[in-house]
Amino acid sequence: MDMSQIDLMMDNFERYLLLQRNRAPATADGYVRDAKLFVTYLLSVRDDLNLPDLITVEKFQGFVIYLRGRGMKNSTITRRLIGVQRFWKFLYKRHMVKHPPETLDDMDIVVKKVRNCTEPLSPINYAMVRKAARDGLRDIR
Amino acid sequence: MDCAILDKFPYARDMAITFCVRNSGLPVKTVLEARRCGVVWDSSGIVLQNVLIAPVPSPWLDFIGLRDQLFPNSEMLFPTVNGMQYYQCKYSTRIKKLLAEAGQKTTPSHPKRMTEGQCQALINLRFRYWRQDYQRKLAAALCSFWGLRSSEVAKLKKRDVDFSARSLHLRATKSQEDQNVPLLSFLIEYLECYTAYLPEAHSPLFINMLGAQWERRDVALAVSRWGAELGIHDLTPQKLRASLGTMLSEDNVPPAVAAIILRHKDPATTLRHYSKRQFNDARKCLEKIDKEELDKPFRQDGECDEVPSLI
Repeated sequence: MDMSQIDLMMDNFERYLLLQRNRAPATADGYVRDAKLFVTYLLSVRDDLNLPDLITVEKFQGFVIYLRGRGMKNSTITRRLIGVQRFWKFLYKRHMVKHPPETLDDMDIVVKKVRNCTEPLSPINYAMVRKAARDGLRDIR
Repeated sequence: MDCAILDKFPYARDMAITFCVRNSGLPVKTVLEARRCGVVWDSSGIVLQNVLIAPVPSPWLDFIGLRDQLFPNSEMLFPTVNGMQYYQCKYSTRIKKLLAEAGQKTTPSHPKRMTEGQCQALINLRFRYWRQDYQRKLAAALCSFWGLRSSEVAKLKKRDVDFSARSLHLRATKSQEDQNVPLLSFLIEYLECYTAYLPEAHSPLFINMLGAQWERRDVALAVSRWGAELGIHDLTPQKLRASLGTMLSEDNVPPAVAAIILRHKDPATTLRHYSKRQFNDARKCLEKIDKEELDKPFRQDGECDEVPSLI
């Protein structure tokens, strides 16, 4: 498969997300970018991009290792994998790949969840901020 | 120095001069050459070069506030932005420029000969110069009191403020569904005043210097700058939302109500993100048990001094 065919496939994928899956434009855009990153990975390992085997469990596992190698955070990796899994599902539903999509657990992939909560302000600072916000509005006239 | 002040100062100064000349009858040159020590003013009026100007024209208050910020030690009453003497020719040029900006005829431009329409048009220009300042304060209030997300603030339009229902309609939400938040009564007055300046129902509440509607990052930048002015660095809309959530949790607000305020579909999300109470409660409970044990008299045979009550 050449790059023009890949581009066409990506356009179809985006249309599918927007029209059939009713995703927000930003989400569709993000998923397409994830799919493109997957293709970039395949090119980096000199894959021949043959359609029936474009995505397999082994390639997906390799992609996870590739993402980790790029120093991505777990949250980013999870986000990328969601996009690629959706791409996989899209190709499978259109009978373009022969391997059905699988869950991360079935593929023996673990990406640990790290909750990165935003630290709130101290109660004193927050009270000061609220007072200043209220006072600041008085200038509006 | 804050660039916004430098943008506002020339307008405020020229307006103050214009209204001082109009209301006092003094020549422009005399007013421009006035010294700080030659002026006395309070809320009832201004005495400039021994002439009383009453009541105090509204542009005067804007001007005095900015001048004291920029030039606290200047001897001149109406300095230029560089702190130098302001001359009549420059003043005339600036007034003509302001009249053109307000869509008015540039003649007559002398303060004493200007028409009421020209003066009103000049006054109406104020919002244009103060808007960035207002926007920053309004965005900070929306993030502080409602915990709005930056994308939600950025995409607000005039039509989204419903004064009859006292609510704010959010369109660009995280869940991609429209949501409403109740307006607090103290904000209504200011929002009414602010939105009155916006011409169309679909006019954005927040615009950048080029006139385009704000993006998420503009809200973050505005809140960050506003926070820096208060001495709080790295203030973000997310931090304000987290602070609101934590405060609701600390104040024992029921999770279902907190979820409505924070616009979570599931109260479990609110508990998961903002409830630190359970951990603190666990600590308090353990400390209470520990204290009770220490207070109890202890006997070697392991029995308690208390007499068991008979049932």
